[in-house]
Amino acid sequence: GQMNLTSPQNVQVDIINTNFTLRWTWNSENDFSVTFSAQYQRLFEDYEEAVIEETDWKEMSGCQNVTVMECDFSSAMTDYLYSYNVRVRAEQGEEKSPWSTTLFFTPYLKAKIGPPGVHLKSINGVVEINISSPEENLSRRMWTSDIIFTYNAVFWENSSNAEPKSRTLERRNKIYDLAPRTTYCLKVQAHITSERKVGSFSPVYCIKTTDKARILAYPINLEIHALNMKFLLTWDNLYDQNVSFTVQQLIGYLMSLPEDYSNNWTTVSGCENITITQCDVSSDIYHLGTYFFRVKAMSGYNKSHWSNEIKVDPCVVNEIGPPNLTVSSSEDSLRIQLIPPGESENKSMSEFYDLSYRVLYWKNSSDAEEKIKEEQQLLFIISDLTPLTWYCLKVQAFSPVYKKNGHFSDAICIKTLNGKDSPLSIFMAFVIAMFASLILASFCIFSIYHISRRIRYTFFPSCKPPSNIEDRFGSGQPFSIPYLSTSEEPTENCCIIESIVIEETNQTDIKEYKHSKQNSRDSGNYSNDDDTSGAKVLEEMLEQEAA
Amino acid sequence: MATKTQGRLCLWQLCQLLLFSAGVMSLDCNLLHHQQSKFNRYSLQLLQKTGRSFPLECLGDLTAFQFPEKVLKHKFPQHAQMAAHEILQQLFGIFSRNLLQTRWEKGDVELFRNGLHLQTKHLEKCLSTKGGRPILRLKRYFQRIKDFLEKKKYSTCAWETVRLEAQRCFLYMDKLTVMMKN
Repeated sequence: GQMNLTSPQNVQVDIINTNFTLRWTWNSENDFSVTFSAQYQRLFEDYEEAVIEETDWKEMSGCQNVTVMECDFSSAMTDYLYSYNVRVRAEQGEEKSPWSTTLFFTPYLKAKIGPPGVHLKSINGVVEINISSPEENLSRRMWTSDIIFTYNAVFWENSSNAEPKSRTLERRNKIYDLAPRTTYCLKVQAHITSERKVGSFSPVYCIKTTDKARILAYPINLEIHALNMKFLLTWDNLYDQNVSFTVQQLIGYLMSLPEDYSNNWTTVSGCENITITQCDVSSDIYHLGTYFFRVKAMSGYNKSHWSNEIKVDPCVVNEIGPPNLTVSSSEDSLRIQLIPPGESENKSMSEFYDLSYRVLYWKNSSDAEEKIKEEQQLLFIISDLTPLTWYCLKVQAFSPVYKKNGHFSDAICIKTLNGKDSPLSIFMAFVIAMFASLILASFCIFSIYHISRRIRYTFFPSCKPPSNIEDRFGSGQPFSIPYLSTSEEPTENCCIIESIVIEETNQTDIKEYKHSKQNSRDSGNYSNDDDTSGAKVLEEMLEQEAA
Repeated sequence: MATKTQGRLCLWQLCQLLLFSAGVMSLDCNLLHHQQSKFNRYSLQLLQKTGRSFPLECLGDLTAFQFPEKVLKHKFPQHAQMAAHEILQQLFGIFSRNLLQTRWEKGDVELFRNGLHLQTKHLEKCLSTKGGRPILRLKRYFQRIKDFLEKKKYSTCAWETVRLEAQRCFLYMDKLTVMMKN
């Protein structure tokens, strides 16, 4: 037929969460007999987006024969991460307009974030704000991750003209320190930071705070102090009576999940019923992850409410202690050897941070200017220094990523050496002296050994001449005797022989006895074996005399 | 009384402002890759530690989820950061649900989730562009994993397959971390 009907114009798609609305305009709006129908096709991208296929055009359910210029086509959409084409035409009886221009869209990129749910509760002067995600409990979800949202609240005191303030909220919040019997109002919106998407605001909710509870006050001013990954939780002591405290901990990610986590708080070991207002909470903290802590006071049967919750990001909160250092000097340089902070407590900070080190050094004089040297290594050499001068230095570790400067070590002062006595030359001299003495010592030992062998060989040969040769020399004296010095050398070995001689040679001439005594002494003087030979000689002598 | 109230409120707001700004200021975004590579190593260790080696009876469930390697070919560090953020956020989403049938070490899973959560937030504070179309590829990849888990009714074998895939993700994360350097 004749094409009298014009195509719809300005086709657009609005998506809030998973609610899809198609809108368009058409010029002759007054004609009520005209209806509109829409079609869509899905575009398939393979995982590398190399191939794009199009399905056939399908009729869009929810957008057939509609009489107004918008329709809800949520039920037709299934894959929010793929792209679609849509088109609309006007129809009047059998007559159909040409299709509108095709609109291309990708649901996920096009979609806007709906308002989050807000639930307020006022208990004992504390306001609880619970936020539910824009798609809580829905089976069809555009925003699938639980941690995709951050929530921003705008709040104000109802009766004052003060400017509304804004702050980010967790999914569950307890707001302390509000004025009692005052009405506060707030509205909340959800963000997806990575997509730069800002959701629409929730309706405004107001709540009147109640009077503070007339029970034991809850602990306030919770603070976490950490040095070298030792975490100390402290709070104020508000109490006159004897009060004990209990500290609880919650693993951080649970705060971002929709489930109720109130049963997941655990009491920190060693922090139950303590009477001091601080506790070491290091035991259950692992450095990659956040934790929440809260404290409760108890006095007899009186119990306070839980304090407000303090959030701890361990690596951010922690302070880096000073490194350990050993310094040595030469004539013109200082050598600084570092040990990373915490290493002595088996918690080396280099495990947690990308540590660099900064040395501050200065001449120990009145007009000293400080100089800085930074290194990633644990060894610093500061060179070009003046000999025989006192230098002072201190070192800190720092983490560039965390923008965190560690504590400085105590200043250490050291004097550079005289040029001639540089440690190297001292060291060299020492080594040379060592070598020289070693060589000398070994030479001495060798020569003593050699000489002693020579002496023994010459004067006391181990082989004994046959007895007939001995006899020729008369009075049984061995060869060696003529060469021997006859100086008196006292020895213990002789005593035995002496006594034998005295007992067995009563009638012997004293001269002869003396002679043989010398003989036996000398031979016994040098070896034990010769003792027996000496004794044999004596026996022979005695035999001769007897004959 | 009125001034006291006002004072209290101001103090509260000041505290919030400090808290908020402390969060923003805590990391140097240009150097984040140092910290990221520490995190990758730690997460991979946790994933390996939490369960045993891949069970032989689950071999039939092994699936090619087809990681979009195109995201490893972006030129700009911002894109690498964006991809890394998406991977961590999606892994958190996957490992936060329906883990009942696994026999994994509960403590390790908790640490793994808590790490993912914190690192996602760290990266989020450093994002300078919006995800947009390139990130859709990654989202589809993770959608395939989620669909797989759902189809397999979160069975032990399905989870073991996903744990293996998550370990592979951290190898891709290493590449992205290198790309995050300026």
